[in-house]
Amino acid sequence: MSSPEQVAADIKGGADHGLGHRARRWFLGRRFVRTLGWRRTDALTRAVACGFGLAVFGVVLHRLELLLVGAPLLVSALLVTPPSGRPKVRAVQLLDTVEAGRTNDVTVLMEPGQGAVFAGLRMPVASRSGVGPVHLLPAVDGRIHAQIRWSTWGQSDYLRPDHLFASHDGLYVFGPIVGRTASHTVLPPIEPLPAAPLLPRAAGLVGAHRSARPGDGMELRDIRPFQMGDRLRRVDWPISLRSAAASGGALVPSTLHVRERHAESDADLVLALDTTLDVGPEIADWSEMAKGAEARRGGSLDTGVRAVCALAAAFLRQGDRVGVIDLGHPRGGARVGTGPRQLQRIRHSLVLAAQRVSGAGEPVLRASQYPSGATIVVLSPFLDDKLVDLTVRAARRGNVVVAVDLLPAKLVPDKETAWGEAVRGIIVAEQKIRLAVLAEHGVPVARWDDGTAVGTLLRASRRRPRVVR
Amino acid sequence: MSRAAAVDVPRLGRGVPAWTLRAAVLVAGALVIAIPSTEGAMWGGLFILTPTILASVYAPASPAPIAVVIGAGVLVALTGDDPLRPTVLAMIPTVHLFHVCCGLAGLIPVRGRVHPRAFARPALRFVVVQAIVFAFVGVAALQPVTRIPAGIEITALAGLLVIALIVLLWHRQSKRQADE
Repeated sequence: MSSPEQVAADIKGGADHGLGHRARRWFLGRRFVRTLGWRRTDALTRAVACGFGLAVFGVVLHRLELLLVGAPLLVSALLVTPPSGRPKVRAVQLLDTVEAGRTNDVTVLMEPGQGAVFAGLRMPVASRSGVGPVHLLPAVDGRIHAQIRWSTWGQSDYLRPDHLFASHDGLYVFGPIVGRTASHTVLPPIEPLPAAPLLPRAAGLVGAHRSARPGDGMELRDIRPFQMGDRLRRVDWPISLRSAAASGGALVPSTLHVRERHAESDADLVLALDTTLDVGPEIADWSEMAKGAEARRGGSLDTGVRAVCALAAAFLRQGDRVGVIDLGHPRGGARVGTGPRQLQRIRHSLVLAAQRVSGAGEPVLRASQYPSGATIVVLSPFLDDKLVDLTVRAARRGNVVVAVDLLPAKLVPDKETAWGEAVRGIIVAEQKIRLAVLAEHGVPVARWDDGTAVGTLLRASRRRPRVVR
Repeated sequence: MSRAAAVDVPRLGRGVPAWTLRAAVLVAGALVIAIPSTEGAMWGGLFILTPTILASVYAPASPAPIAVVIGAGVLVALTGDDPLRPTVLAMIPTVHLFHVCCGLAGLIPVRGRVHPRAFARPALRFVVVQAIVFAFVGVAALQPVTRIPAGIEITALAGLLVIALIVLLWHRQSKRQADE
């Protein structure tokens, strides 16, 4: 992009090379003049030309009507003085990361300078996302506040204070000037979800879950006779004394009993989200990519991201280790971890994942991407056989795998083609077959409605013995 | 010259759609046709002014409104003899309103939002301008209707030209000072 000095040199300099060159200079000049500050408008030309013109013709033709009709325009032009100064507009930046579903105030500092009466300022409105429409306001020296509501998650521009200032009746204008765009990351919302117990992982003998193995936990597993190697602090003295009394009164090693407790172990939950596709209820729209970085509202990706957030928040709150795998981009996602910071990491990774939906690509779910023994929840619309293969392979590796179907419940056929209904039928039938194949391989499937079905499945998976085929 | 007051604008509301300004241009344009039609200039006015009014609604910051203002002046000049009859008196604020509406509609895209409090000062100015013009009308009403000598007319024309030149130079000088 050329600087104003370069454009000015281009307009002024150079020899006349004919009509094309002159026309280019004229266009450049028209564009350049907008950067020079206050300038006259067509309204001023109209006021002066019509006011004086009608006055002159009125006098010449002896028609007072002409003079009177043009008089307000003339008086209006005479009363105005060219504004001075350089108006300024500055935006007060908000945080780079915000939560979806909340509202906040956006503030812009305005210094209109001398003579400005109107300000045309682009500001967001609460009912719509984006930088908003241009508002015609009184030119005031101070702060302008607008309310903004983040209803959709993702990365988006929320403010671009394009501005224009005008004098009385719009006779002089300053601008329009394009403001600096302010963008931010709106994190996906966390919907409340009751957490289900996960299958404990044998690796680490610490955590929130009761392991099947004996250990140093709190929960009583058994009371058994003392064996070599048992710690003395585990001896249950009341039982041991009763046992000694029953066997003659002598407290010998064979009458000692110990309390055995369950070990406590942690559990890993890996949420594998299909980011190769983002499909909504309208089949006709599937081939069109959503505008910008936004996912389709109510589409498979939007539902999947909300589901991942809800599951991650619920299980992290329980003390489990949770990770996310971006099936479309193996380098994306978030490794398993715990704590509130892990939840933020997951939400950021989901926002990034939503930007990379291409509608193509090879989904990847390798054993190296998740810890052994982790419970895996695969969230996908299952419109691709490869996803079924990946899910089944993960189940065969010995992991508890649960599939969450994200395909919208009621698909709307493409009305522009006679084959629309047939296509819809084929898509639904193929997807049913894929889900049936998953069920055959021991992968339970649930739809994501409010998460309760998935919680039930996880609970059932904990009780079900794992079968390695 | 006025300086904007230093105040905090309360939270920006929704305002009204900016197409209402275009609608105001249309209404003012319709009045420009309707007022002379009371004296029998209906079809002529419609034929001449309707396309230019519609062009003004579509592009208010264009030369189209000039044609409407001149057309309105010509219509009232052709449809009656008394220069101070009610039709002329009604046309004075109507044409001014049309001019102001076009000026404001040209400032904002049609999909923008307009906040009515922006029009408080322009409304006051409109009233002031009309008061000045009607004071002039009052003076004109007191003048005799006999033929004015040619010398005075030439002097008046020369005076107008001098005023035009003064205004032009004044504007140019003020703009230069503002740029500096």
